Amino acid sequence: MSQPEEPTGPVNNAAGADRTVGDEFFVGYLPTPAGHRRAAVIAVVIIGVLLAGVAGVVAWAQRDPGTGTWQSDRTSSLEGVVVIAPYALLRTADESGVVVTVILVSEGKFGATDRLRDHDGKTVRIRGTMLERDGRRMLEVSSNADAVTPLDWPVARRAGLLPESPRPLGRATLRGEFIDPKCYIGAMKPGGGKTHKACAQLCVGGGIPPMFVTRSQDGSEDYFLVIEEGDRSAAVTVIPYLGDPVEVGGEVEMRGDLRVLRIDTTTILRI
Amino acid sequence: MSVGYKAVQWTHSKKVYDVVIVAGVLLYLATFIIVGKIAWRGDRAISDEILLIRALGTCAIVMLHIVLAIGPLARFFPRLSPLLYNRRHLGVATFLVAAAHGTIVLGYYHGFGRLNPFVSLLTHDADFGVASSLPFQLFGAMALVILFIMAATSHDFWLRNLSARTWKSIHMMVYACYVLVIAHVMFGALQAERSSLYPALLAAGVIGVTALHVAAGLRERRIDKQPWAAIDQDKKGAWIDLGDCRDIPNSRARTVCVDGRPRIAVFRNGDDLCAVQSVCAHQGGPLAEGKIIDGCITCPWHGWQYRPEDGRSPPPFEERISTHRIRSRDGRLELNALPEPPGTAVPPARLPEEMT
Repeated sequence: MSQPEEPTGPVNNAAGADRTVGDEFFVGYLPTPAGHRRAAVIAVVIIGVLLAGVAGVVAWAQRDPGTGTWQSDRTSSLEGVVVIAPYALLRTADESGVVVTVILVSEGKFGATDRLRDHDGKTVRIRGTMLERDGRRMLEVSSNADAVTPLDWPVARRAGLLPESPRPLGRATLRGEFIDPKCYIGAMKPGGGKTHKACAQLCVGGGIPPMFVTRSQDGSEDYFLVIEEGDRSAAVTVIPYLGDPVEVGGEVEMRGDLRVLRIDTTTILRI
Repeated sequence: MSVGYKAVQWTHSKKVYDVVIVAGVLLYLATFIIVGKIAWRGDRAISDEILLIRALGTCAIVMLHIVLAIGPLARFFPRLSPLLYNRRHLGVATFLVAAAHGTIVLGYYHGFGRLNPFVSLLTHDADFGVASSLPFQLFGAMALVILFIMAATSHDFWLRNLSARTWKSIHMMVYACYVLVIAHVMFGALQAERSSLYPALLAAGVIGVTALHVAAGLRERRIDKQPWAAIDQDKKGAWIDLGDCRDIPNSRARTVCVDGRPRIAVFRNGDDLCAVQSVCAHQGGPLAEGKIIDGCITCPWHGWQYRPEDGRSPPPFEERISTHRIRSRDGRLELNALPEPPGTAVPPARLPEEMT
């Protein structure tokens, strides 16, 4: 039989009389001696001040989550040409008529390539929610069956949105981080770094196109869509390095407004 | 009052203790979230889920530091014993806060994907050979499992059924848990965050907890390193001269160390002296730092009681501890270092007249 923390009647009543100044003794099931109560109150106040102080300082010092936004409460509708290269992209015209490339992804941690493969090179209207950071746009395609509607545009209108020939910018060695752009651009803030690694691996493993981000001294960032030789997806190659600071070499080219890095898979180095 | 098991046998001090814990947790979380929302707002606002994950995670770490600091602090400042008394409640609360952190992480970072969140947690790509790629979330998950085991076995039901020794061994895993939590932070958040404040705070916490434990350990070691020498040996064992016992306050005890044996508590009960092992049958509390209350030796940790004359808990309780014989010879008091079987009645020794 085990002792309860409150013993039965005969043992717990006279302790108060037994307690004298300088010989106080605390027992949880008896009234707390004044000295112990005073010490406990002081300790609790000190701990409370420490708790608030640590919480405030730790919360204040958090890293900048970036300026990404996700208009998850508003449905956007974009019209343009789907390009699978090798990830799902939409070439569309913005409000001022300038052709922009929007990365397409699905809801959750999934890409949209398989869903849109049959629309490669065709004109469509796509509904979803928009994410944007530093001018880089992404559309999370709605899971509704009618989210993608084929459009029958005149050839001339469609031609203006067809992919241009890549413009080579030369070989480069870049330092930065492989990211899953959906979270980084606005789905999670912050959506990069070591603490995001596992999530990024799920995203890129689920088909969201991997990107590479470099940071300048002034805090500005450049984004590169990452592919491999032969315009193949680089997902499998970069998954182990997502979230880590790395150095990587490859060929850089512009595809319209989209900067693309064709990585040399033998050059990836953690730094 | 009961001698059976209850989920929690509420006392006033337990209620106050738990209210303080809840208030402390809410204070921490509210401060963190409010400051986090002020520091980063508008387009640069941190996701609510991430803010909550960070608030809960850091709160659990702070609580773990408090849990670990209370023990040694109460050794140095006995008036802090009210903080120690219900420390298990703080431990369970630490688990609950850490579990909330882990649950949101599991759903947010490992959910919504092609894998079961648990599969994702256990299999996400990592490289054990590279510090920047160590799977820090696994360290956190292992720490959470330890906290769960400790919280689930925190009740006296388990203490009784697992034996005090096994129970204590399980709960010493808190130190493994602490190491895992430090690794979780070092190879996770510290690699992602840029402020040097975080490693500085973590280092302060680790140094503080380590220093308190080392200081408390050295203090105990100093006591153990001064064993009392035997002056006589017979078939009952070695006899130790207790010297002048007038300085033992009434109802209090003196600690006697014998090489290689558990400490002995020599209690003064009026003009009588009695000796028992100084290790409480409950959680190994130091009975020599206890007090005789209502005729019973009372443990300073949780108030468990034993009769000085036979080391037995008063009915209806059944705990027993070893007793030691004390004899009066030639005006001197001598203690036998060999423990009697637990619960053995031994006659008290009367203080010689010159010592009263």
